Amino acid sequence: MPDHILEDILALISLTSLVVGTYVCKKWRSIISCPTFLDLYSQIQEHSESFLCVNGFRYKITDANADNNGSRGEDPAEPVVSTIWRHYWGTGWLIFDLSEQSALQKLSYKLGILDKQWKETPALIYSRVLPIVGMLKRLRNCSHMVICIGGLISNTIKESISKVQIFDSESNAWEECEDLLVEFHGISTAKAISTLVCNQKLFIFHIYSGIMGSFDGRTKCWSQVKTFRPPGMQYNYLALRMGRL
Amino acid sequence: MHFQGSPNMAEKRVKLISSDNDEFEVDEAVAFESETLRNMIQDTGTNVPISIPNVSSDILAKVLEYCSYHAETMETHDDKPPITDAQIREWDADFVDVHPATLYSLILAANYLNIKNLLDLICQAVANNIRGKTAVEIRKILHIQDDFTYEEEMEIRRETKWAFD
Repeated sequence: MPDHILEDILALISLTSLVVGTYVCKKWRSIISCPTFLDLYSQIQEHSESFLCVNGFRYKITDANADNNGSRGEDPAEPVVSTIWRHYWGTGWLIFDLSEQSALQKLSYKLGILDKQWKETPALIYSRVLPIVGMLKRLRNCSHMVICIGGLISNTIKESISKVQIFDSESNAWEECEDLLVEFHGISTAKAISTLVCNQKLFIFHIYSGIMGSFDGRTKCWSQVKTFRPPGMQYNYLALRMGRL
Repeated sequence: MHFQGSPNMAEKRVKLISSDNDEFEVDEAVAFESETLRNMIQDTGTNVPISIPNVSSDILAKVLEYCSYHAETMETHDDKPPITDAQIREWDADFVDVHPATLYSLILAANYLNIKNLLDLICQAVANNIRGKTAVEIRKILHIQDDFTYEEEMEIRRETKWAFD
């Protein structure tokens, strides 16, 4: 089979199958381990699969919902990757380590599950419990930004903060950005917010009230808040399908 | 997808010859589903039969079945309701519900004939076949030789241990 077709096929399978694929044969292994393939894989998966990132778990929306493009309804979801030990998924193909039970001082993360190397950021400007974490990639030069929003001050002080911090892999430093949208003050923890990365923007969505805002990675500014609340729904999650919300 | 040419283009017929010398005759619009055939027809016209040396007649018949159906979905008839996306998806699902060996031959044919939608469809079908399978099962389905030594395999399993927990 021509390599490019094999790549196309492998780009469509789930992460667990992809890991299984690495020991099918040497050719598969070399294709899957190749950085250019992994780039293709993450792009295709980001744009074609419907994933939910909730509470640091990652869910795949089942095909029952396939005809319902970009549904914001109560999605029937099945977990594809429950917990990979204590690692959590952030949105935008970020995996981060929440091994510390106390507030996060710094972030250990990987750029996707097949990335072998854990990267570590310098200390956060504000340490956090349950922050919203996401990643935006710049396709231009393969650098990335890790965004850390809100979270609680500590396990005991259940007060959420509206500070936004961005770690840029180019400067290797955290930077404080425009504060979180006022509508999200007091509710900005990973438990109540569903996040997604689409078109270089990080979308945050409060699952109970249906308010949504987005942070633009290029301008580092927040958008206006919009409300999406289908009637009769208790809570909703944000889903991405075919590159659309 | 769009078709270029005069309105009576659909009446033009194209002759295709498979690797085992069977002759197929199809509408030009059907052949145009294949980028490779489209280029050939635009170069040489429809008078000369086109030989397809690396596709056998049973596979070519299957490919042309796909092309005819999809060319038909592009047509609009005043008296018939248009074919819906759901109908096309259902048809496609039936189409790829074949033996893995046939799928494999179809991939090579779709690749050679450059029929992108068919290639995408089969890639997805193969990906579905692989889903949830073990490495041993995948090798069996796709007739792949295990070329790892025992030590290499153990090393890989250690590296990816979490996938088996």
